[in-house]
Amino acid sequence: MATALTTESFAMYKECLQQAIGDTLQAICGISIQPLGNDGEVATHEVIIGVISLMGDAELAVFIGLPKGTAPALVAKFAGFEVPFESPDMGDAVGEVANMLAGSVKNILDAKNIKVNISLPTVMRAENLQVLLQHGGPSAKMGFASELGPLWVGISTGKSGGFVA
Amino acid sequence: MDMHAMVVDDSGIMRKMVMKSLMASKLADFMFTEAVDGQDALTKFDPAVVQMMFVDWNMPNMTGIELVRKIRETAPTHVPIVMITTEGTMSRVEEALDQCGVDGYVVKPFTVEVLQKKLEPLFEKLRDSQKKPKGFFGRLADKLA
Repeated sequence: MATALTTESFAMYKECLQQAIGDTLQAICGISIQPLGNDGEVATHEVIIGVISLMGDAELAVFIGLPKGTAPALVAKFAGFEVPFESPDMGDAVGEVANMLAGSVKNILDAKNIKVNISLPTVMRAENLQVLLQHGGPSAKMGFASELGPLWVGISTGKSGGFVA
Repeated sequence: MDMHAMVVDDSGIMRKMVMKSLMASKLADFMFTEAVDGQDALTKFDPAVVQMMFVDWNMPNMTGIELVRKIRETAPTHVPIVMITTEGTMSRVEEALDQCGVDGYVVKPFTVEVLQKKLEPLFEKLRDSQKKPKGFFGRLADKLA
């Protein structure tokens, strides 16, 4: 059962995600990322998003969003061959990246004795997407710059654990 | 050494990446059968043809380990099975190594070099077993073939 969520534990989950995205992209593409300013805003005209849930001692959803300019470059580096943004393979690839990101988050949480299982990924391709997170609630979006283009990751928590501010 | 491998993964791009990396590893001359999930793998699995399996852990309909259990229950011979996993499920795969007769695992993401290093001992064993002199029935089967 999920334990109660506090401001501190949510900040810790956010840090885990930040560490995980850095580790994952370093491992799969050999690139480093830098946090973007202005509240992490990344253009969302055409994007592809991978979402995955973590369930257990913590109830979380993490997602990664890649704009059209970033996704093919990142996937080409990861897969070793070109994958067009519109192809079904792009969905598979972003699902795999989300899977590895969630695996890395799980691993970091495991080390803190927080046990979770991960779901299968869901991938969405969209135009003019607005990511609407709960205002003042336990969710966050972080933008990053990389040599392959900007990207963002986000985290949202389930309500089952409650939120203690 | 010729090697007919079955690659089981619901992600088409991961199947391509696994096959591409295996071919680049030069561990064997590979031929492949692809399966999109556990059920598809069971349908396509022919123990007379498939010599090795690479199985994703996290798949819809049937998890990788459920597939391994079913293969072990039904296959008349031991087909080496390598699990493909992420960091997050590594500990469960390690448990499965003993419990279900998984022969090895590779953690995603991997490079050709990592794959080569990880699988070399397994291929060494396979090469040795192929070199071993055959018994009477083995020689008879060769003559009849």
